[in-house]
Amino acid sequence: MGTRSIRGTISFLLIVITSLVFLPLSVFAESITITDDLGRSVSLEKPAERIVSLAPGLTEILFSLGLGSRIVGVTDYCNYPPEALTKTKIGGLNPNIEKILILHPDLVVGVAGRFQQENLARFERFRIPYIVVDPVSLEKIFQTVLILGKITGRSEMAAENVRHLRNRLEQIRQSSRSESPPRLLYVVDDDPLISVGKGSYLDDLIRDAGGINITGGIAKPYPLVSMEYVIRENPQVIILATDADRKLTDIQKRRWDRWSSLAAVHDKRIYKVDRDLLNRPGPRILEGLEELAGLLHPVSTSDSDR
Amino acid sequence: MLTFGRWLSILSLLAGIWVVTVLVCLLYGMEPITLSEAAQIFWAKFYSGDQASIDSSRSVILLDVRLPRVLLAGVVGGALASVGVTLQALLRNPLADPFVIGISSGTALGVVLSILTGLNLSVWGFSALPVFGFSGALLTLMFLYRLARIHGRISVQTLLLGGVILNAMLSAVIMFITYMVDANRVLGIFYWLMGNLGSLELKALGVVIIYVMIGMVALFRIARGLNLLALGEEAAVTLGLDAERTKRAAFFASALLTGAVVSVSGLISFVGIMIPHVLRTLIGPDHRLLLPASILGGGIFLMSADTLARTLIAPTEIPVGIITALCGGPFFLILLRRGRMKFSGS
Repeated sequence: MGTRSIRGTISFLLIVITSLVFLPLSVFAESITITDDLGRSVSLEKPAERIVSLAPGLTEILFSLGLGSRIVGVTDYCNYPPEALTKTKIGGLNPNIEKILILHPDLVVGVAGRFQQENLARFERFRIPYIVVDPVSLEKIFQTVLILGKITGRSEMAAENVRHLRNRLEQIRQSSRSESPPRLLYVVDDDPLISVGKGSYLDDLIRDAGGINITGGIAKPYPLVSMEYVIRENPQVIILATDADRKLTDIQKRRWDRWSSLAAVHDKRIYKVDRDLLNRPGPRILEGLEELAGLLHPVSTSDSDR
Repeated sequence: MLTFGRWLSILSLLAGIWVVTVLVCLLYGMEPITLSEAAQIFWAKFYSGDQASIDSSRSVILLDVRLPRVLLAGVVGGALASVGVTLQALLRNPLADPFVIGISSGTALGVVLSILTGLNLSVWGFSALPVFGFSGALLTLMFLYRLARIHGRISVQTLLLGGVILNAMLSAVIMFITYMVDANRVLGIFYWLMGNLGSLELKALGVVIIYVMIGMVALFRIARGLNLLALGEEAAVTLGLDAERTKRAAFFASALLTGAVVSVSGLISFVGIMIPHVLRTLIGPDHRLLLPASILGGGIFLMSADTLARTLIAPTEIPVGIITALCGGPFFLILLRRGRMKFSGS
């Protein structure tokens, strides 16, 4: 009688112990925890399946990780890739909470800034996991890709993408290194004249592309700039930020002609760039950076092509 | 009693101050230019044609950046102040000004709409914005006029209150449009609405001046009528004035002036309300003197305010509407507190 029951008890205990040790482990293995840019830690039981994106840049990152089918809601501004246009719209700067609730998301991703506190309060109240990222520099964009990769179970792909992006960044930096970097004026809007100052990441991008931002010393991200200052600084290149179609009105085209004393006007080095490429913290930012570097260093890039 | 001698001496004094203000504003800036240097630049540009001896970037700053800007400030300030004078006489109310009763907002709405719908055409190389602005201003005024016209007569109180409410509604529409448009363009519209005098060419300035001249001539022609209207409409009619015609001319000229200047400068507050009051206190209420004096005074004030706007935190600029409100507001409150603000001299 004794041995049997002892054996039975031991095997029962073994099962209990094993399950006590491994069961919680298996739960931990599936749950994912990340720390967002507000320092909050967010945990999901399993990789996010129904994602709502509150920023165009984040939408682009999610698509670049092959997560298009898992996105259930995007903002009115999300226009890239074209597939994003087919997703349910949840509003603009201030998203519509009712629409988001109807979509039953298991993850909402947004950027820091306007409406951040309102969103935090709302999503916490409705117990929807919410990640806030703050991609204000290239490095932070890479981090954002990694965070989004982890929470969706695509860590490896994210790491691979980031490695590619870093290589490309390094190449651009190498090829646009120059003894005398050209002075550049970046025009966000031309009437009144608004440019990019310290704290905007366009300022960093211009440096990465091997140029000098003439308004980089102004301690305001999007300052109203005096034309007198522009004349005095005499930019060699002027970049006009336009919509994706890169069209200018007649008035915009002629606006710079009158400042013929500027080197950029005299040398006809006024270029248009798609502001979505440069303003948007997503993977296409490297495309924008490459283009910017090409415009700043036309000779050196054609040399490297040969 | 207004004598010709008094008229001439006061206006010459103001004109003198106006000219000095232009000069000071031209020389003052983040790149200071001395008087002799400025004289050299002007000489080289307009007489000798010898550009070699002068620094070209300073020449550009003086002639292409500052000159149109300072002159535009002079024109816009003058136009806003003269519209203020007119509306105050017409409505017999010290609060009337193009900003308060919604004409400025009507203009701004017209301009914002034309920019957004891409109807921002250029006609013979000139921007058609003043036309859109004028349409906005005129529609606003016509609507107000209809609203306040009861049994063939204009109720001044209805017009004023209606104007305040209309202003709130139009501002809400502008805010709504700003909120709805592409996030990339919000900043530009926002800064523009706060007042900006910095982006006009000398050529385009000429067009604005033509509009403004027409409006001002119309106002001068009814200056005497405004004197009578300020006494009250019944008194004016008794004294032989065609009150309705005078009012129509005044409204039309006000719409033209406001439309022309707001469409190129954005919303600049307090000039139209403050300058007429200050001058009325100083030189009396006769519109034959008050009108031209306000044109000069408004110009002096706005040129000075704009020079502060572009130099205080250079190389960044402050929207000039902020400066006029910050300088004008307290000054106005002090006048109000001291009880020295007279509305009509009668």
